[in-house]
Amino acid sequence: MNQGTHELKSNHLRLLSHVVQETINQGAIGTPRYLRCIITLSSEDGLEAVLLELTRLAGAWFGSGACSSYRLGCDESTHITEMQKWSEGQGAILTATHSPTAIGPRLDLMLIGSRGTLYHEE
Amino acid sequence: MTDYGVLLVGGRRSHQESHAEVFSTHPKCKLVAVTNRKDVSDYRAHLDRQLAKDHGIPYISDLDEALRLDVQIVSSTPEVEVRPEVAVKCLEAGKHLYLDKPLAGTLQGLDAIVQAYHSAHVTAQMFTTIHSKWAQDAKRAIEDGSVGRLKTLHIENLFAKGRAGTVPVGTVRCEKERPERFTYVEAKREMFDVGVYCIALLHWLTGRHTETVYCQTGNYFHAQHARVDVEDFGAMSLKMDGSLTATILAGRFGATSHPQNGPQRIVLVGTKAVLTFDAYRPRVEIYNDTLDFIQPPLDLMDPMAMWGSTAIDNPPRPKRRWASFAQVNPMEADVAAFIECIETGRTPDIDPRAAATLTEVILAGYVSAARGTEVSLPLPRI
Repeated sequence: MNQGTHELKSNHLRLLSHVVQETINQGAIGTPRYLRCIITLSSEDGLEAVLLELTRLAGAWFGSGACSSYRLGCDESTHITEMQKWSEGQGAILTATHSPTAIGPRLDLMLIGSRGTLYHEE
Repeated sequence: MTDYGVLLVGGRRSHQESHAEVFSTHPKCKLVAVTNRKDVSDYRAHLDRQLAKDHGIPYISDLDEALRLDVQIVSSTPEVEVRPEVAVKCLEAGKHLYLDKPLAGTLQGLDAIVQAYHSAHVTAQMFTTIHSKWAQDAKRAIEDGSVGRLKTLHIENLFAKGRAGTVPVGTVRCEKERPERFTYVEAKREMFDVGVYCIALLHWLTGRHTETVYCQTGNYFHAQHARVDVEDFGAMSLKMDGSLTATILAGRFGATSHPQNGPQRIVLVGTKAVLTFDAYRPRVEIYNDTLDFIQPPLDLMDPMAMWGSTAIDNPPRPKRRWASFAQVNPMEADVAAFIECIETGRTPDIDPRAAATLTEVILAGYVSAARGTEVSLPLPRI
């Protein structure tokens, strides 16, 4: 794995996690209900590891881990999508994909809450 | 010169409000009358008469009688529950048919419409957004190889309408395999009504059929939807033929959850690139001291702001922070394509066969959401 890319990605996700959590804590979007996240990586990065980080973020924002997940694709097919469900009805679509034109990680995120929505594109 | 007389089935507080507006401005069309089934409620008849008055055309209470008029096109927007009955009548009468979406709420209804269409030898098309600029751009990117070989897609369409944040705390949706009712004053089945746009784009963009769906529905935002036990949100994962996969999101998530009308986007993931097509790009963003959008007073007869006619007395303040570049009205482009198909004999991209196939995907989604499992298509005919 390209360490520089990985560190940039992890740092970005860490900062994002903090900002999103603050937003949730302030009640700005109500109760988080659905997360849609698409992350595009250069080919050196591991999709499983990134998906795991996104899953961890989703769990943090929803306050618990998912109770089920359904997967499309696999690492060998250069993209993975998981549709995850939570016991209190929340859900997430998380996609990690390779793209040969990606210079660095690109994140497209929408966190839908009961009374508002947060958008992030990087 | 007017070539086509247009009969409208349905009135105010239906999508006929927008259908009629678009047909009335097409140079080859002339609105002839508003009609409906003979046994509609007094309230529905009142709404139909109102639309007739809006357009200065007669109201005819009996669809069978109206179909004997000199009309060549029917724009049909009745309640979901009776769409098959109305569509079959219009097709058997030999009329070109422009259909509200989705096509029907049952497999039997879908099959009945397709069978009647097969025998009718007319042009019939269901409204979708495939003719919007951003969808056309996405199609071009696939066809010209910009994205490479398509691996997966994500399509989302969420309506920024209604007052979010009212659903009772702790509401967890328990879906049912076969929805029985679709028409309510205060809400509608949003995965059905909005998700159809996403599924139509998916099938049209890829030319593939859906083999399996895995679906989740939710009551996330609106008390009105929870009260009548219909979903305000849906998410699907789909496996298409040829190892293509896709995900979609659809719903109605509140007027204040988006700077414009709600996310409408397509993300194409291919071997060469990941490309995003968005209804609001390109745009400029404007920030000033002008008061921006605030939610209008709640209309108990239309809390989800479904109909333009209910906003006449209390029009919402427009959202002005985003100004998208000039875009083609998707329904104007869709009707133009419909007329062109009548004139050339070309089969519409979303004819009743295509519409039935993609509507069946949504019905399979309900089965999947109820069972919590992947469901294969086609659904069994009992």
